[in-house]
Amino acid sequence: MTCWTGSSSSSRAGRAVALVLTSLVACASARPAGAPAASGGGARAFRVAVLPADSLSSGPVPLRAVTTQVERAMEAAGLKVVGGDAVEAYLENHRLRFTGGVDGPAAAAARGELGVDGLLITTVEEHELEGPPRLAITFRLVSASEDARILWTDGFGRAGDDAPGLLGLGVVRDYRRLEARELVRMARSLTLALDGRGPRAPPCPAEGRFEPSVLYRSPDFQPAGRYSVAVLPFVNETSRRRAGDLLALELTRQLAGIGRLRVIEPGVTRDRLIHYRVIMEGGVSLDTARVTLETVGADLVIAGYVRELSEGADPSLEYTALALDRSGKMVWQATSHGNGSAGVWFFDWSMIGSASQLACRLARGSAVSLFGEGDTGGTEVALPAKGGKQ
Amino acid sequence: MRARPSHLLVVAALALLAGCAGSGGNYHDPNMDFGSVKTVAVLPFTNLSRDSAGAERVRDVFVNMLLASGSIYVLPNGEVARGLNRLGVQNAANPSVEELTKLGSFLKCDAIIGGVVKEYGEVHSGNAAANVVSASVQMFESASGRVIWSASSTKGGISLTDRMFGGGGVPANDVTESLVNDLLDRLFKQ
Repeated sequence: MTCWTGSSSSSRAGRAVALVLTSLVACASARPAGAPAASGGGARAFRVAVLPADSLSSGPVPLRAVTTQVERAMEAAGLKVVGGDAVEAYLENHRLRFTGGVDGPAAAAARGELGVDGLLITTVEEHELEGPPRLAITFRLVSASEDARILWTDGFGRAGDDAPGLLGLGVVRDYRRLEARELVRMARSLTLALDGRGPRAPPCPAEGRFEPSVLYRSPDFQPAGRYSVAVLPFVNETSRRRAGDLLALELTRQLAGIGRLRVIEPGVTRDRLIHYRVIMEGGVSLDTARVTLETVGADLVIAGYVRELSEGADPSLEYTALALDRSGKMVWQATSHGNGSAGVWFFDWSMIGSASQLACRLARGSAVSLFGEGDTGGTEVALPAKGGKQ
Repeated sequence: MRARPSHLLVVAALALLAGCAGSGGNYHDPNMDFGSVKTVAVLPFTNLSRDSAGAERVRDVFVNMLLASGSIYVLPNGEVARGLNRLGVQNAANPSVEELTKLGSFLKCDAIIGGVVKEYGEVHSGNAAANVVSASVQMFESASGRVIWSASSTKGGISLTDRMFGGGGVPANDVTESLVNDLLDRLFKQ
């Protein structure tokens, strides 16, 4: 009897230990809140097609060279990269000339033709070889499925003299070094996200100096809600080429960092606008907003105007963004302006030396003013299952 | 009773200060019920400043701050542009009464606001420089096209401190916000 009791108590203890161990294993394998769940094998099993880089830069960019470097960096990080002739043939077959985004049918076709899980979209925002080199690139990994979901997005904007350090010893004068360092960092960010160990869209730091200067948010709007958001290209009122696209891209990236939101891939939105021959002369109208919301299945459409974008050592940017809901009501409008030296008092400490980084920070301020801080950095999105539409 | 010279000096100083304040005129239609104005369209402002984007910047801040007041809903600028295009309004900044009424019924708004930006940018005096923004706005009733509110204001410029100690004054955007605040004060505080 005693023996039986003893056996029973040891069995119960064993079960308790097993339960604790199971919980520990479960905890160990749990991914960070919102990080993408890898479709088995994580980054090393992920096949990605690297599309030729698109340029939003104001000057010439050696896009082929940049694309090659991106392919190498991703391969070095352990991803299975499909690029070169195979991607060229795919683009030719589908008559795709714009590589700054991808629409649903083209993304789904990539799975069948290239056998990939996702497409990596590279957008060069700044590129400067001379003087202190300057490079800014935004990346997006889009699922190779009909809905072309944004699986990961990140970017950087760096100048060689960002951190000069003591006696200028920290100045990077070699463009290749700067490029290689940052591409390795991006590849790591992507692999961490695919492995479920990193955020899907690392946000830019939120700083008080880059919050919108004038802000309106409708009292009826629920910022904590789960929305799907489409960002339209901003109207460019500057002399810099594609400044509106740059702003829209940065805002897309910052919104993707808010885990509860589903941000529509800009390529999908662009495709719908072209399909319905929507021209936004003078900004977004209610008709444009309705067409966009209906065709991409979004709850909110964000558009705006860029009034100033200057690059250089002290970049400056001014824009207004607005959000319209399904009823055509403007639920948010914010005007942001800032420059790289705003709030810099002590030598060049905390100076922003890249227009891309400035745009990133201002866009982050705008995104937070609309949706609040929220659960930034994560997503509920799982990677597409092999061989099937999502 | 003779006025003492010191009193005259004080009066003169006050008159000077009043001149520096930059507050312009203000008109409210006494027969208009401003409480009935719920939705407005803001037309592109006429630009008389040297900065080609000055008028759009002032309009932008004006729309945003009017929305932020929470009292009036402002139609998106793109929707206003669509209305102007659709109705073929030649001079969007100065529409005729007929065009105003048509636009009002097309956009389904209670009032339409237009404006003129007279100054936007830096002014110099000796070594001192500062930003100045000057604008006047008018509100038209959509149904009749008549002016129901009009106000003008000027903000910024070279202050005594700027003259004495130099410095670039306040950023143009801050001056614009101050100007728009002043204009909205005039609209809401009849």
